[in-house]
Amino acid sequence: MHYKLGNLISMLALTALAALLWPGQAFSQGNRPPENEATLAEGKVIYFDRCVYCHGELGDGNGPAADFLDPRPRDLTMGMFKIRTTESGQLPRDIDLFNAVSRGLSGTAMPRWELTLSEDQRWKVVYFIKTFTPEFADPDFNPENFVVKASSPIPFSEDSAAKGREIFLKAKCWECHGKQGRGDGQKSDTLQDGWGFKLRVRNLTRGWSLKGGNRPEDIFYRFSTGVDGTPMPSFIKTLSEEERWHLANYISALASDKESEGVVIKAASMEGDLPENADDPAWDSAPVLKVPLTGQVLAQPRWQNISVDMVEARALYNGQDIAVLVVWDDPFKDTVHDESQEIKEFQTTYVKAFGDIPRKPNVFRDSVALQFPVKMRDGARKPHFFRGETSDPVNMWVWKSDLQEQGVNSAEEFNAKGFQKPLALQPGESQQVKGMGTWKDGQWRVVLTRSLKNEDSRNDVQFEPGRLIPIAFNVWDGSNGEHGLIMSLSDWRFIALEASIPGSLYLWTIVVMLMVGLAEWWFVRYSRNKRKEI
Amino acid sequence: MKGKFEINMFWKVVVFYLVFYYGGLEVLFPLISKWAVGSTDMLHMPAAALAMYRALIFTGLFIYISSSADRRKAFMEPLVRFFGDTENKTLATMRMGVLVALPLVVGAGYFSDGIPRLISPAGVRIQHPTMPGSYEGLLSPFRNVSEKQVQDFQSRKAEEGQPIAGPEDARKALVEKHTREGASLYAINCRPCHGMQANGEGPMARGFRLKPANFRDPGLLPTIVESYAFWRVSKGGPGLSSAATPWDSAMPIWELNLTEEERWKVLLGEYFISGVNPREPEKHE
Ligand code: HEC
Ligand code: HEC
Ligand code: HEC
Repeated sequence: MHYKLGNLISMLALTALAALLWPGQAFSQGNRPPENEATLAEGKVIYFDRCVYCHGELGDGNGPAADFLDPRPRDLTMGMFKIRTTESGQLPRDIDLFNAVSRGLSGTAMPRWELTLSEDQRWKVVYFIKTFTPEFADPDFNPENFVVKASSPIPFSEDSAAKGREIFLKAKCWECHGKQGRGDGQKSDTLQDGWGFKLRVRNLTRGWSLKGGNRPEDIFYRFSTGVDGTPMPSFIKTLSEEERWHLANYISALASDKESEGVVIKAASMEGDLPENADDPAWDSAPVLKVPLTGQVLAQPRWQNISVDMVEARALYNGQDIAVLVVWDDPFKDTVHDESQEIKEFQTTYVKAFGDIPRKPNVFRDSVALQFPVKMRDGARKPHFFRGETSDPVNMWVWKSDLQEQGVNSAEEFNAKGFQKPLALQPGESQQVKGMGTWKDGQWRVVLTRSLKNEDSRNDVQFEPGRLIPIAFNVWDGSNGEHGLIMSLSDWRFIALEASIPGSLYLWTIVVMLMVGLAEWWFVRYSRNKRKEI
Repeated sequence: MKGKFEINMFWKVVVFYLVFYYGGLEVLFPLISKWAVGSTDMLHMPAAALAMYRALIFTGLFIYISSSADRRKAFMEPLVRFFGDTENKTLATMRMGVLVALPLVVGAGYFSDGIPRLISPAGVRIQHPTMPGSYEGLLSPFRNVSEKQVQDFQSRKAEEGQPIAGPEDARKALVEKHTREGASLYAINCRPCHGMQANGEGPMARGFRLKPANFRDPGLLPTIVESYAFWRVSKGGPGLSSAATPWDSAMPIWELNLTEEERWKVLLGEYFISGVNPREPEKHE
């Protein structure tokens, strides 16, 4: 072992020191350094230490990491900025840049720099990046003259949010963002941003994917000013300020970033047949687990520009079978699969954001997979969450939209022994999982059903009440170019069928209570005798 | 006759038990360990350990009372007075209450203990298991540059028309160059998980329950030697021993996709971006 007591002590000392220093680090307002040659020079050093990998030495957004990112790092030389409090087409104010750098652009690679750069450092680097755009020095473009007014904010209330919903419909936000706000309003996938790259309409139900923040005051500015460099327009001329506050309240309520606590999908038991259909009201009785997904970045081909970053899972079971419902947002329904377009060879450790894979509809299928260990153990030990290992395989239930479109059973069963080996399709007689998926309003709902137990315990997971059974998810969005290991994935969660209370427990409880009663009776008798002696 | 306000033996024992058991084990211990480990959650004692301490306190008290006849008597006296009484009306009602409540409380406790519950098999994870001997003592060829590397670099610079005079300056410039290259490798390969700020909060980190290592944590990077980090980068999560739950670790096996040189270089970048220096290897006497 390398770690000795000394390390623990120095660690404790450091922690204590950090705690002592903390108040001194609190960023006070009005700390803004002057904008002069010295601070610009300092800002330049920070830029070349922290920002250059993405935004590039010339500020043109072509740093070494840029090719792998969607959205690409901003070209800072064009004066086009998304997060502003100024009118459409105008430069951002210094405070806008400062806020964007401090809070980052959530859901993109742009980090939240307030975590590691001091307020002073952030101002200085903002001064420096302004030098990439000459217009910042031109008084005609002074952004302070174009500030969007927000004079009378309306505090959040259910009432205001309900009015906001009306305005969402009236202003036709849904033509792009979809009736439920899932970003599925556009029929075709042809939108481009101002820098010539494809982009999708934002899913407004994902609080963490709003670049400028999901508080009403953030959202108010996004659609008041428009998101420059994207098709997202400014509504300052078409909607009154009051209407815009109601709308902002509506969207902030829509844009939840609540995550599930816990890690267990609690399967609810039911009498009678399990629902085959995803819209069956029986599902309402089963508790939901939200499972966050990330890009498969563990092994080549690594993919970080995923479109599906969460699934919602629930399960129902009866005496024989178990059914799992998986729900996820996907603005385009892809039900074909062209194997000849699958990419096998990659030059780089990560798949490039644009150009490496076909990110368009009608090439690859949408699909979901549930993964379970084959061997059940009592301790913490499991196969690796990324497709298991040679010595410790996993069982996969894969639902494929193209199979469903062809009218055959849409679920297939596989085994995997690690990510380096291809999935092994189980033989015909072992294929026992049934699948059923429906797509509506930018959302897939897929049900996978199998018997709780079967004969094939060497290859298949077996469900036993009272056990925590590990489960993991893989999801593919075909029109995002995803296929093979280019996908979203989760690590292990659990699924559990709650065990019923055994009858013997009631019996033993009564026995225990009787015994206590007996002991009491004895003690009272004993005390009465003793009492006389005192 | 005892004084009216003297607390008798029985209540002393009860108070002692409550203070030690609830105060000490259930509140104080989690608080202290939370502080000591720097965790954000209370660390509760495992149920088995708790039961053991409870039994220990219990037996201790039992021996203490029963080892002296006086103490035994002093302890039993209020109990006998209460349960053996046959005259006092209020005492009789209270006694009835206790006699009914006790079996109910014990029964309820027994029943709720017996309900089948899902116990998550969460164990303690060892963050830093011992590295394989073959990595012991390896030194970074890009930090500990040889004289030959420095001379080659100097002559290359001279050819490019940017000569560097002193060998010490040249050495610094060379390591600086490697660090910049390593930081770019880090930004491409490690940033999605470990984050551009090396705080373990990269854009891909959200979905992993075993979080990517936070290199700014004073208990992490500063406590390991560079060859240890080199082993971790080469073999990834699957290279860990089972005490470190390799099946939950997203850390990739980088030797599959990065050359040995790139793996050493990316570490220079990692340390630079984290703002920490590698721990000096221990001198073996
Ligand atoms: C890991 C890559 C990365 C690093 C490092 C990075 N950025 Fe960014 N940055 C981005 C991306 C990607 C975007 C564009 C997001 C978008 O268009 O939605 C962006 C956008 C921006 C914007 C535009 C915000 C707006 O309102 O449109 C600014 C300003 C910016 N970055 C400044 C910085 C500064 C200053 C640093 C260093 C302290 C930095 N960035 C470091 C990736 C990065
Ligand atoms: C022409 C299509 C279109 C219309 C109409 C439209 N949006 Fe958008 N919206 C977009 C696109 C595209 C984006 C993503 C921009 C990006 O990637 O930065 C977006 C992004 C957003 C965002 C996220 C901003 C952030 O912080 O990331 C909000 C909020 C929003 N729109 C609200 C609205 C509202 C409210 C309306 C109606 C009043 C509306 N949009 C109408 C296309 C549209
Ligand atoms: C897929 C996400 C992911 C990527 C990409 C990744 N790591 Fe990790 N890394 C992790 C996780 C999760 C851990 C913590 C679990 C563990 O120790 O295995 C970790 C742990 C580590 C550790 C051990 C730290 C310690 O003290 O225990 C080192 C060193 C490390 N990573 C370096 C790197 C380097 C260098 C890169 C880039 C070449 C990289 N990682 C890329 C996820 C990742």
